[in-house]
Amino acid sequence: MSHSNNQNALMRFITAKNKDVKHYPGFGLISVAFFLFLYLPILVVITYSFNSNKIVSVWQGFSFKWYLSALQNEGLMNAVQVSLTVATIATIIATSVATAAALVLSRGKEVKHVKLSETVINLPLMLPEIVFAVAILILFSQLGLQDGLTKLILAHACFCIPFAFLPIRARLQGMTNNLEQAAQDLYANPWITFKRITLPLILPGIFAGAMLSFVISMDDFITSSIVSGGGATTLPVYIFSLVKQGVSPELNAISTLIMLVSLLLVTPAWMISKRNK
Amino acid sequence: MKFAKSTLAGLTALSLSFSVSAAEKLNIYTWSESIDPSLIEKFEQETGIQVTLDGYTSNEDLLAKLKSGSSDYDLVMPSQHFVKIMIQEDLLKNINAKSLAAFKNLDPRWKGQWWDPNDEYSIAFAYGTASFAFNTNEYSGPGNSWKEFFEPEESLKGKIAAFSTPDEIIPAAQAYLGIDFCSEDSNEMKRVYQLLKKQKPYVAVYSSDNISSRLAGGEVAMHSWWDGDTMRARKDNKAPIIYAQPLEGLIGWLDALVVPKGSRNTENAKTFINWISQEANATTQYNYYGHSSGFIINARNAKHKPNNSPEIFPEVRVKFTQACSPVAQKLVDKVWTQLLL
Amino acid sequence: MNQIINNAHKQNASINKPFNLRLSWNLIGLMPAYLVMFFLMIIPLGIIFYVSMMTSDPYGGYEAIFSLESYQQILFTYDWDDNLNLNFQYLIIIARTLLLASATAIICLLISFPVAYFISRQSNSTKALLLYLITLPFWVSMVIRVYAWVLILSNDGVLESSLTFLGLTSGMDSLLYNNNAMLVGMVYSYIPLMILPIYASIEKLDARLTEAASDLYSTRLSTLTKIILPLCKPGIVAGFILVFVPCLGTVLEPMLLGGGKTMMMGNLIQNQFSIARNWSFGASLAVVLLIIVMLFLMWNARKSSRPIVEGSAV
Repeated sequence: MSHSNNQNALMRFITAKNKDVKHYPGFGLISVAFFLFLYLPILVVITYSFNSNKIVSVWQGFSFKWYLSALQNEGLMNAVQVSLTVATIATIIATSVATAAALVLSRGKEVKHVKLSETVINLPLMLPEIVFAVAILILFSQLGLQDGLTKLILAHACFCIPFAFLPIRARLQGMTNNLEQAAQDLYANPWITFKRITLPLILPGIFAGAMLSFVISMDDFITSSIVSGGGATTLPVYIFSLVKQGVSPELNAISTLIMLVSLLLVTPAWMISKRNK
Repeated sequence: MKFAKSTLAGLTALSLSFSVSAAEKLNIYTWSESIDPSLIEKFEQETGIQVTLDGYTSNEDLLAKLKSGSSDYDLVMPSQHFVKIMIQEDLLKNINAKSLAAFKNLDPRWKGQWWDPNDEYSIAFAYGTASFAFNTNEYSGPGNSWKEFFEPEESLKGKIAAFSTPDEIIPAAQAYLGIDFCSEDSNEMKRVYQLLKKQKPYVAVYSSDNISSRLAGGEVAMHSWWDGDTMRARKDNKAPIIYAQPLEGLIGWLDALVVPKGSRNTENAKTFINWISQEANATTQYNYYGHSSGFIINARNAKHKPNNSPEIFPEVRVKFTQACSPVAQKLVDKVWTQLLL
Repeated sequence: MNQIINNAHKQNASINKPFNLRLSWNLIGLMPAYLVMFFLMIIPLGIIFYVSMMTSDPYGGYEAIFSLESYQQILFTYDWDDNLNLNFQYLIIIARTLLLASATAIICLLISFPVAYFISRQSNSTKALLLYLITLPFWVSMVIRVYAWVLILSNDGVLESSLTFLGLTSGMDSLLYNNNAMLVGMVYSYIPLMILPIYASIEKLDARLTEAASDLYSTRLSTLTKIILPLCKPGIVAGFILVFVPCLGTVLEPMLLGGGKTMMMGNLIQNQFSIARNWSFGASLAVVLLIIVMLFLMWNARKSSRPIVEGSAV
């Protein structure tokens, strides 16, 4: 039954609403084509990951063997561990820094140069990443900073700040400060007000910001590949090194696994944010 | 609540990473797929040292990484001329190589060489040559002159591939033109440039990655390559590939184990050098890698012998590349930048 | 009402709390962000300027000797007889970068507007689902998304084999390693950044305006061009910036889909810090890229600060 509903909906997508003044013919078709374009490459990777043939483009039969070899791949597991460590710590730093800044800019009294502060915090968004990457490479080399993980964490924390800042700031701007004022009028001290009122209210924003910076950090390639050193190869850098060695079924299996994990991470986050709206 | 949970997860990851850093580690940066993975596993089991292995495909990549400072590698494997440059540039640690157990296992030919005259920094690991290899389905040979590579026949247009860096291509061109390596004469280097420029329309791609599949799959007919790698492709994958042995000379290289300045696990690096130099391990490594070993190996267990491995027992002369002066190096870079533009 | 509470509260606060304390709280809250940006953004950018005006060391790194040679190198090269010649090769790379980035942004716009409009016309739950579907690939690793196109476009890749299977072609030239391949990859990578802001601005559109237009016998086309598009301008401009700026510095697409032969500024700069080992030249290219982005953003800020006559008049 739900199937026929879907079909009806699909028909409506394409044919109906012709009489409607707001309807533009062709937009539906473009959208269908667009979604195909969006998902076709992903489907190709997933399909080929089950190909038992070592030559990727020639289909031989269905097999899970590349998944087994992917999961036993030590380099891959190392890279996953590095990426998770870097992303987690960078996210914690970026989110704390961004929350503090957003609170001051939205709730602080007599804050001067709000526009300037916002620009400074959003600097990483205005800069092509390659420029940031080589700049920070030279900085680390001048400082003689050794540890690969530390370098990655510092760089990632920096460019994640605006991604954490924007959702938190948006949340704060979207709500009035009536409740906080009511609390203060009832002689709650600022800390209690923050803990009991402000924090719970902006938590969805903090969650969205943390989520966004985590994903941005996990996904980063340019900076990581330029800064990375011994024992600090992140997942995208590792995958890139595999791509350079050529198309392989194991690479497809690894990619599919990563897509699966992102799906499992993003879907609950999406549902939470939907509920909170 | 959610946030608390994710914070908790973060802290777990944090403690995880610290527990890892407490273990003995060794970060090796070496030529891609050069060390037998089973040997690494064996080494980890015997010593409890955790090895991470990253790969590069050109000496230039390695030099750039070390020059950018603080790369955090403990063991790297540059070729002889880059060993000399890295010593000059103060990038390597003096590990007093003479005193290591591995030094006794070294083939005497590789002691006291010009790149490290007092045997302080480096231990020879493997040596071999660079030339070009061709797929016999696409090109019939004979494969005895650099002319076939640099001034190819018309049918090879877009069917040749060359290394992505000048390190061994320019010496090969110099050998073909009869010019000394590391020439500081800009007229001579102009001739090298002109030769490469004339070759460019025939070159489909300048790349040092993924050579095996590109050549064996027939995407290109001819490819710059190394001796042992060609042999592995021929023996392991039964690829119809022949390693050319130009009469003008093969380009010789020797990769040495060295420890970069700033390595934090120098003792582990020395342990690894000593361990891999032991006869049994060096022989296993030789059988896997296919390049001649810098160490004394067990001839009986060696898989590659003169009668079945013409690639690594060449009959033409071999000219080893040299460390160029800054002037010569600038000319090399100039040729390459102008070529690739 | 709110106003009154606010004012009352302000007075309250200024009586209870000394002014200085407020200020220091502000300072403490903003300080970490300023510190991070100062040490990890502004100082490194300063170093880039500095290095771009130094001499590069042939083995990598730089020597602290003042020289503008690396800027000169963008426009001129010494030929083999040591004559200084104009050299258009780097300018071509810069032009190609600008062209591909603009083309990407324009193609993204042409696709995004109909799609965003289409989505805005669906029921609420369909809307949410479609938006989710658009953002989903964005969470998947960028490297993998670009790699998928290598799989599709390469020799014997998906596209070629399916076309051969359908009998439409046999043995075509490789689709990889050219400008078109890079363009496809860039559109694919960055298009969600265009759709979302445009969608947001369409959602804000007052439905009565389009209805009024049609009541006044406006055709669909003129409703679109005279009412909808001008009102969506902020979203379109935001999307354009979000796509155009990262495209200028993109590295993955030229490396994987351009094959390293057709370069863009991103991978040209990256090369100078890896195999080419010419830090000063790389730094000067980074400065040029930075200036291009700044000029673009400034031009855009000036344009959007002017009142939008058509839009605000309605």
